[in-house]
Amino acid sequence: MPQEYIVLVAGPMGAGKTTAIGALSEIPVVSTEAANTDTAAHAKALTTVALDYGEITLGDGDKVRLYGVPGQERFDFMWSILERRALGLMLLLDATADPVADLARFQRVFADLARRGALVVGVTRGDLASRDRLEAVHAALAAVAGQAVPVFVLDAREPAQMRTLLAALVALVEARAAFQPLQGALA
Amino acid sequence: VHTTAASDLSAAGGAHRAPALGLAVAGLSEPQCELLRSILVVLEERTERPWRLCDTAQADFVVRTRDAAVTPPPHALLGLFVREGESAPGPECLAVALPLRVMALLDALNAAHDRLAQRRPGAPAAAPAPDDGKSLAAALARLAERRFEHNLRVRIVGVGTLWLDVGARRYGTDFAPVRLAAALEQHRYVMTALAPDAPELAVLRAEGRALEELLWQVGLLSPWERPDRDLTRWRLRRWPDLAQWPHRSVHVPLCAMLAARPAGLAELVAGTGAEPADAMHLLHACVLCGLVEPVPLEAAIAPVAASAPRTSLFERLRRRLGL
Repeated sequence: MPQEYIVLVAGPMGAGKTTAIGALSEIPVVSTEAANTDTAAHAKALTTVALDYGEITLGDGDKVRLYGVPGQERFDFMWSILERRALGLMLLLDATADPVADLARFQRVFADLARRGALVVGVTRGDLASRDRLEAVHAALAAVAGQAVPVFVLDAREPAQMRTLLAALVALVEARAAFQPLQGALA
Repeated sequence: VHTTAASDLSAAGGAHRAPALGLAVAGLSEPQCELLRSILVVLEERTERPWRLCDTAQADFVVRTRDAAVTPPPHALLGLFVREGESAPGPECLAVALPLRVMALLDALNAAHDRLAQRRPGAPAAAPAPDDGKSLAAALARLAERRFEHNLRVRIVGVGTLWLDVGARRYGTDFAPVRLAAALEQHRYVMTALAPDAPELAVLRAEGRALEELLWQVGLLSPWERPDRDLTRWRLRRWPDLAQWPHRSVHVPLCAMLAARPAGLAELVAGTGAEPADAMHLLHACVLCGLVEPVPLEAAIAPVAASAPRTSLFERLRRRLGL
């Protein structure tokens, strides 16, 4: 029976979720973008209004399914449905926005995954932000799940960097699973 | 004209070093010869091979002033001391500037060594083994472990210059970042302490890179000499930025295990299936960067399972994505 591993890619609008999935996926990203009407939150022309989807095949029919969840708060209701089935969460934060506030918001929404320690953080546009801002993200994460959360400064367009972030998530989940049954793997 | 006295060629070098080369000089004053002897002592471990002053007949490299008459043996290289204001010799002749300076002499001796090696391809060359404790990485690791607080300029022969501002936690180089690992493996370098107000440090504070990025590579490249390393468990406080810092895929599950639970060296090896050297270097790098903290041994820790199964999702992804 093929297995599927669901990995969520979340973050505020403009953090690079769609781009990140494109960097990881073996198939063209199935994207549901529409004109951005929330220009107060971000100036980009298009934004994801439902889900982005990409996948990585593992052989024997097994897959890692990558779901990018929309950044606007009006879609929050969708996230809890996905969270229960997910192996883990890749959270992308825009260093030039308010990454600490965005982190707090997404930690609340994905509290279960954060508690399980199934969380990694990619900080985009880190080269444009001050060191203090990155330190604030580290400090805000210090108490999550009682363990160190990977925080990588990355470019969502770079496949190698995105793969490293995904590998860290999987390794972290499996390290914790050494002491408890693996969650999020669907038969 | 003064020609230096012979010294014991056979006493050169440590166990791992190739035999010494002979240096003869002519035309120097006695104070200049004294200075030369002192510099050779300083350069003992810094040149590709050690050099000893000797008679001209025994010399591999003979350096003279323009007004000194000397007949070098056929196998020897000839060099020329060049005083300020004198014209430089042709490219076939190795020049050594007067007054004598450490780095100029270091460059000349290494250039002479390289030319001699080309002439005698079968001659023994210094081939320092990795992790012999004498690389630049090992030296920086020892300094970091002692909480060294001085700012440094490190001239790395054949590579360039590395600056460290320990207070500002920055470093910089005048060579490409991709050459840093090769630079850290070098055995020929000279460290100089810099005053806090040195002008090059101002540039470093504005444009330098995070010191932890350097220490990470230092840890991965150098031996870990901490006496209690096998008796301590470590907990990961902060992940290394693996998206930016050079690493190998095995470092990811090692960090994950340290994040999930405190572990010692042997436990890391058992829990991840990593090679002991990989686990040791990873821990070393994390210690130097302050990414891990020791955990008291009395803290109860569940036993470590056997090596990670080869069919783990991480392993499958690693193979699929070519990590």
